Amino acid sequence: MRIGIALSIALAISISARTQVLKPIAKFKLNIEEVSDLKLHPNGTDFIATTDFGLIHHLDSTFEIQFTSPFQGDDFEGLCILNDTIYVSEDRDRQLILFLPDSLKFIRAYTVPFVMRNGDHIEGMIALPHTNRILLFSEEKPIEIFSYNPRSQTHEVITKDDLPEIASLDFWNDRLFALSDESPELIELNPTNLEIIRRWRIRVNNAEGLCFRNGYMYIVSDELRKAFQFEIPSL
Amino acid sequence: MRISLTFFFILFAWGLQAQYTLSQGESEIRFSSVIIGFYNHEFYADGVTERPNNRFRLRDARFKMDGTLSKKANFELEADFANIIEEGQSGDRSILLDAWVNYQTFIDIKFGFQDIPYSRESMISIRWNPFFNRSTAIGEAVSRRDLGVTLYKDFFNEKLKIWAGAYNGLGVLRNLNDASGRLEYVARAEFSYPQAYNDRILDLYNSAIPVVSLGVNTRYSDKATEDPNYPILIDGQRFQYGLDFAFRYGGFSLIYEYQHITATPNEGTIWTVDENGQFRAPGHILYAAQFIPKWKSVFAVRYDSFDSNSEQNNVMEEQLTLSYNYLVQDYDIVFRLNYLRNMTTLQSSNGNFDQVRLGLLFTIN
Repeated sequence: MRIGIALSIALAISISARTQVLKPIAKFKLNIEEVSDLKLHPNGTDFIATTDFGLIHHLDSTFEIQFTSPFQGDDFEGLCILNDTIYVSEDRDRQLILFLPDSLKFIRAYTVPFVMRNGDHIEGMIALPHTNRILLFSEEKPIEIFSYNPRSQTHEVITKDDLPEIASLDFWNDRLFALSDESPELIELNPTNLEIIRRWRIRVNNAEGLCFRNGYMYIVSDELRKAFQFEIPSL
Repeated sequence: MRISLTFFFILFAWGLQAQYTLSQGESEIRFSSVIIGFYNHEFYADGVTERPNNRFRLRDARFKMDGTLSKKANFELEADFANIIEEGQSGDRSILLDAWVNYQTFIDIKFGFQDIPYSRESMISIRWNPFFNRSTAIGEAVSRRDLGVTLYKDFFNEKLKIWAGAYNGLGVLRNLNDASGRLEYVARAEFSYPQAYNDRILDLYNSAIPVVSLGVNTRYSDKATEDPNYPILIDGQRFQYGLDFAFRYGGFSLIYEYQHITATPNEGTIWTVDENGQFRAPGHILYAAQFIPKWKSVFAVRYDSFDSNSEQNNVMEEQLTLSYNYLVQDYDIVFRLNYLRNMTTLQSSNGNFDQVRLGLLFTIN
């Protein structure tokens, strides 16, 4: 009886306002432990994925591993492609590691002097081809965004109070989308000033990687060990 | 009470914010801290003159150092300075909370002073509990830490987790075992779907899909010493099992746990036994909580009961606790209000009155 009363009280307070929810239309098994990010391969068909164990994989269109780079780091978190080069953020050593897209051959590593709060990490990253810059997002709030120029090895720092933790980012038709594991939600950002345009709830827990291919959006989850296919939300 | 609350707001300034990570080669050391304090007001019955529970209390003042020694080994060292209690006062909580090393091979082997893998509520850190105290069945009637070894293995991307361990069985850090020289044995299995269940009571990540988890655990000891207040230690055989269920979705979380102790004390025991020389001590725990991100708030309710079945206190201890948590800064700084309705049938002179607790949680993690 008393358990029932307690349960009734709990259900009575179970209220929460909801934004639009995006539901996956298909899902794929992911044979990767602790996936940390996902991007479309420059060939336009396959995928590149990184892991918390410092691995980088080439995946086919069904998310099966085709091959893995022999180079192993400690903890790969963010992933982006700029000028036919793969950039991976190595969390532990504050490095950007460069790979060739087709062979996943290690090119070189930059130690990047990002001055972050102690214990903070780089989580998401995105390349801005028109400015030849890479944006790297710190994990802890308030989010610090490092706008990094690989050629000049310089960067600017932008602080954003209103952004949640960003796990991954990608462009689709000049629209910039960010994936947050925290809510979890998809956020459309203004590519110029990174202001939030719109947010959607997504039906995926522990979402780590986001990319677009052939008019669909793909999100990978580490704990669910699956890739989910979505319709791209319209404005 | 009004005066006390005013003092609370003026004086309550426990807080410290700093986190450091040190790396050297493959080794990494992190530092973190949890500080929890509250003001407790007890609604005493008329005629009660001794009112020692109306006071400020430092619930936790923890400092933790953990990290990795290599890719195969990690460690944790944690102390709670709130357990340094003035000599002569009651309380035997150890200052040392954790001091263990875990070696990862095909199975994890953890050795040292550590959390015992028994009971879902017990295995969730007090940091992630929306109440200032634990339920009676777990907080008072089981030893939650001990010196020993734990084996751990998970399967299916951590959906299935299995623990087994052997410990001194005294629940405190001592150089010597009791006169029996025997150990306590513990085992637990937990299955979650569609993903691993995290070690939290609250759904602060607003789970986008429903996640459920079932756990079963058991522990056995045959000691030659006992605790006079709760069947936490029995001079004789003590067998305990527990079943638990957890659910979370969209900020709502629910945990139910059933505990059952079957004890066969040796002769001369203080416990009331049946014709078979046994007694049983069952308990129920139910947590339900709702996180509302827009309000930066967590509402929670807990019902817990426990029949300790002792001669001195042969009565069902029953409590209903309501909790409101305001997340000042994520879950790192939390303002918390608890109201505890004591439904214990026997109102004894040593307590069992309703209480209100008002306090703060600071975390540096």
